[in-house]
Amino acid sequence: MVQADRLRKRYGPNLALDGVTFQVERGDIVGFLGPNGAGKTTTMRILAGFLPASSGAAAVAGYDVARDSIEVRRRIGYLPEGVPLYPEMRAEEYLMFRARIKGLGRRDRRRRVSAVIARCGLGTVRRKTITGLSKGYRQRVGVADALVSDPPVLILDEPTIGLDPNQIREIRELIRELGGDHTVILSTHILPEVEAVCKRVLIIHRGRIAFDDMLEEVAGHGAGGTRIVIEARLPEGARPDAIADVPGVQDLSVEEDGGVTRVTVLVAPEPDIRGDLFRRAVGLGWTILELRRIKPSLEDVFVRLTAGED
Amino acid sequence: MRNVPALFWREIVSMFFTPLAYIVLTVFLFFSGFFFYWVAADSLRASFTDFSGVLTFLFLVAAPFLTMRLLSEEYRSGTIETLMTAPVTDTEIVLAKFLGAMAFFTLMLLCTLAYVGVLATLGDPETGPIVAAYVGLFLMGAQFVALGVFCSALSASQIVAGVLALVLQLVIWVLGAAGTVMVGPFAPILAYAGTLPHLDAFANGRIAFRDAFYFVSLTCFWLFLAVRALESKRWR
Repeated sequence: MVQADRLRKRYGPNLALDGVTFQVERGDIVGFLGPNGAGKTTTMRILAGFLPASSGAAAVAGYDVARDSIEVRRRIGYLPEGVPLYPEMRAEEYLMFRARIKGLGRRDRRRRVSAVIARCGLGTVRRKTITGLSKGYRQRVGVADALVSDPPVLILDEPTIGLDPNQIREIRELIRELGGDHTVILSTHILPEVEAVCKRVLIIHRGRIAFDDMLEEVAGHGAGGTRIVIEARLPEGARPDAIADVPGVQDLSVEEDGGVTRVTVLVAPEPDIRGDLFRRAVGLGWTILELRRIKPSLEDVFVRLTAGED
Repeated sequence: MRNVPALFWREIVSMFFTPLAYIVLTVFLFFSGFFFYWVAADSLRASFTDFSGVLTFLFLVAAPFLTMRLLSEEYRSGTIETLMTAPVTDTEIVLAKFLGAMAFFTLMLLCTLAYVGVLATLGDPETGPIVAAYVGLFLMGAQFVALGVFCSALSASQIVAGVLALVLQLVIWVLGAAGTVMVGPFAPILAYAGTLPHLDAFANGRIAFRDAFYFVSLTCFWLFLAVRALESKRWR
């Protein structure tokens, strides 16, 4: 549904994008991550037809973003960073205007604007001027605008920034509902947001795609692999590293805390050796208080790929 | 051109809901009223010719205030991004901005008909020259506004856009004045390029194709440049 092929973008001497290539299938919800200045907004602007790429090509729904810009723009709902709106217009009036320039006929316009107002929870502020709206409501007006023409592709640049936790949940819920019949690309700094909403993750770093995989596969890319933490009371004189002889244990570290020993064992993601560790520890006479597996999080992957170089 | 009406209406809404337009209109009416009284009382004759010169000058000053925010404000607030990612062409955007400002300019021009009414009660002014003068003022206004749209397309700063429009307009003005006093082969070219000689023709009651063509072509020229300037924003 969305294809980027070796996109490069130069701002004067700065290379903002250096060969960005990816594909997004119909119905995917893709989290687009990266440190500030990595090229997220630039990529989204190119896809939305606001900026041309210096070289490379991008296509949305089969239309080239440079050659058939208008056709691409008809099929995209775009929420720019910072949600620019006309402050002097009323919320509903603004959405009617946007629906009209997006080519909706008079009757569709009324129907769709009512639908997005209901969907984004704007019913109580529809007649208010945008200047007077809170940040949360403005953000929702922006999302409502992106949705108003019911486009197959949604590009949302930081849709939940500046919202309170309840509003964030509402917007996430909305985005989750949109998946399936809509293709969604959303950028964010909030990693749990991606874990909550997205099926797929793209991490961009210094103008290149550093990671492109399904969310479930993130574990395999983890920094330091999977860890198993065992908290136990050990018999007098027992050595905590005695369980190191269980096959699959790669490394092990020990902490003492008020009579409780915490052993952190580094293992490969597969096979799962939690049972073996349990039996071995019990065999050694340990009283197990807790045993849990920690898979590497998206945050671990993100930090490993993007930190430390700047 | 399908989207021009929608974009035009948004311009009108924002124009009439911001104080600047009203301030411009008020100040314009105050000064035009003042000068009208002065010119009429001074010359003691019911003539529109002198007064149309005053209106020209007032429009020259007022036009940048009407046009400076048109695109600059969109750049500054970022709304240009939502506008240029909607399925509308750059030409449609520029045309709607131009027509929006022209609508307000036309309103200002219509307000001055009150003075014509006053003249008509005091004496018996000839209709022909007044109609010609209004045609001239309208065409000249279109050229001022188009120039303003172009300047606004160049900068995210309203001040820069406004000052640039005023300065460019004055330069064109001075060209004409220079052309009328200079001698030599370039004098007729300068005189044609300047605003004043064409306007004088209208003020004196002549509607000539040559003068109308001057304003219309210059208007198109500025609008063309404005579209180019807007397009170039994508390339930065």
